[in-house]
Amino acid sequence: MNEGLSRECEKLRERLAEYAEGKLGGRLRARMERHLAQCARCAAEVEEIRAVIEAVRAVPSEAVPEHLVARVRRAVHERASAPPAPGQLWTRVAVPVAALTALIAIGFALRPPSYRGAAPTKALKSETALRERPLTPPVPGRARPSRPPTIEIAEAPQPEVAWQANESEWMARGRDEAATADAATAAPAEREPPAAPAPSDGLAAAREGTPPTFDAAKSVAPPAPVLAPDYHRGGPAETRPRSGGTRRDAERVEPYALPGQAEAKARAGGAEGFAAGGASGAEEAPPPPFGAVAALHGIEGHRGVALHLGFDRPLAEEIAVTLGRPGERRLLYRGPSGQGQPIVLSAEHLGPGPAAVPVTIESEVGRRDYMLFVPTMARLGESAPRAPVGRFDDEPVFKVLADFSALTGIVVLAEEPLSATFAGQIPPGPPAASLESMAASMGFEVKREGDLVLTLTHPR
Amino acid sequence: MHAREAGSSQVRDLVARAKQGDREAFDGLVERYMPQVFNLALRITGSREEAEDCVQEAFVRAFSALRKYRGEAAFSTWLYRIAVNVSNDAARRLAGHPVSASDLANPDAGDDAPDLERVGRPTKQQEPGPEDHLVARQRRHVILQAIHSLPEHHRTVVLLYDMQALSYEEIARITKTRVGTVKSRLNRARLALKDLLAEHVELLRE
Repeated sequence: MNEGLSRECEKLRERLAEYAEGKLGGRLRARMERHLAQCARCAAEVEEIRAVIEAVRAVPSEAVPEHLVARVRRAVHERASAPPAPGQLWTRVAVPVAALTALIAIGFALRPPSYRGAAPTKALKSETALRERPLTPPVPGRARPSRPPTIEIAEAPQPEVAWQANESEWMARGRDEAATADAATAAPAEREPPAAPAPSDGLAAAREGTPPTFDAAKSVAPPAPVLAPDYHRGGPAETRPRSGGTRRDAERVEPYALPGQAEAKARAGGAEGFAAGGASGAEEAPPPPFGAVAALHGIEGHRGVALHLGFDRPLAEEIAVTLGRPGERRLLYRGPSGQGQPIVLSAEHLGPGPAAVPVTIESEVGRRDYMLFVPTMARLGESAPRAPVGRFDDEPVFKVLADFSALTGIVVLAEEPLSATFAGQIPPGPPAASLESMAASMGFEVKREGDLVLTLTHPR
Repeated sequence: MHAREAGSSQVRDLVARAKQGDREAFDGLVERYMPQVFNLALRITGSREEAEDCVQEAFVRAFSALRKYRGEAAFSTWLYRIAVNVSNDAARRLAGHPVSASDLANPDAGDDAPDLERVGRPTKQQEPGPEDHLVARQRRHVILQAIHSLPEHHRTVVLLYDMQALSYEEIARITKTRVGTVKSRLNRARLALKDLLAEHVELLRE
């Protein structure tokens, strides 16, 4: 009996305050009343909660200081009259560039050397090939590429284990194309002065095909085989809607394509590339809400994973990133955008293994739905000590209990519809199979070409 | 109800005019929402000085972003969200700094912060005497201290629900969470407050 009451106490405790306030109704209210009639402890607790609620509500408001209204008005008027400060313009350009550059730098630093300058499908034929390629030695006397402080992961600024989507090329290209499209579509009144050069040599290096310097001493040989996602927006022509200049098409951000891919796709699929999409919507659509890129990698110390989000511009105030399918969404992150802040995810968020998880990023200027693919999060274990690294929604957040020294996999944060061609050797066995079945169950068309290419396409 | 509708209509009109660049209309919005925004900022930051800065920042941000306000939520909800964000940012910066009693309670508390050990239980009087004022000040102080010590998202829902009298739905919009989450946080916040205030039960019942 006591045990039953104890369990009931536990179950109903979460609703005590609602009951105390008279907000509980129906069966739950009747159940609560039955319980309170038997449980003096909970009944007393209800009374105490009532007293607290009343006391809190009885706290009078403070009078507004007399000068404050005038002060605020003055500040607003000053803001309204002031021309945009150069610093503001600079910030609007520099912050996202810095964020993206940081991602690029990380991408270059972490990617296997075989990615550099070679077609992934050819370069990643075998694990042996990867291991035999030396890392680019650090260049003496050169500083590491500058990164915004927020991109650094507190626990471990230098990921020990390297695997990373090769965003560098497609981000660099995406920015170029996005800039072109924005320039074409922006109304004259809204057009900004030419952007100052990016404050980092990372982006320039990426464009020139020269990797930023990287402290190889802090790195380890990349795990193998590592998949190289090969992003493009064109996709197989038969699975892609034609961009007939619709608003949706025009709003779609098409920032990421490897050099040559957009052109190739445009040739093959009939103006499906980013440039075509951007131009076709130039007359009737506003600039796209925003574009985002993401990178996921392990954290030094062999346990942990961080999701870096980078945006093509700073968003209005904050972004909210939610993870999960509709009805099961959980807020993953809320905070400032445009700074590529690393977000430490927990195993509880991503699940223990291969996953294709919807991610929604909302801001004041719009909402974007993405798919986060985590094909192979290897070796999740429960034996390691679980020290929370923070709190999320009032629950402790733990580092992912994965041994990333053995991780092979990719993560794609892809806007729907997306055709992502994963060029690389896909590990045989359950992980890849799970990815395929999971992607298929979520409406993605899965096309596998041998062991080298897996194409996921989400038809609209 | 009628007055509320009229108020909403007036706000909509002010917002529409402000979006067109009418600064006086925005001044009207400042005046209208100043008490709520100030109290919210004050309760979140626990610092009058910081709260004033937050209020200014919130209104300036709102003014700058007004053209992005599409009217999908009430203007007050939109404004509160900005104010909550600005204030929570400030509170995070201030984390670890001691919060003075004079900041949390009325300015007339001044340096004469209530000393709970010193004050005996006052006798009831018909007219509020000095002791009643002291007790009221004490009560306010311990409640605000308790609220201030809550985790950020618990503090936020308590302030918005109990002090700003917003609905679950409005709070969910402001905090960008689900209504269920708001309810859950509110419940947890109240349980936490109950524990924090356990030793002051008598004071609360005065």
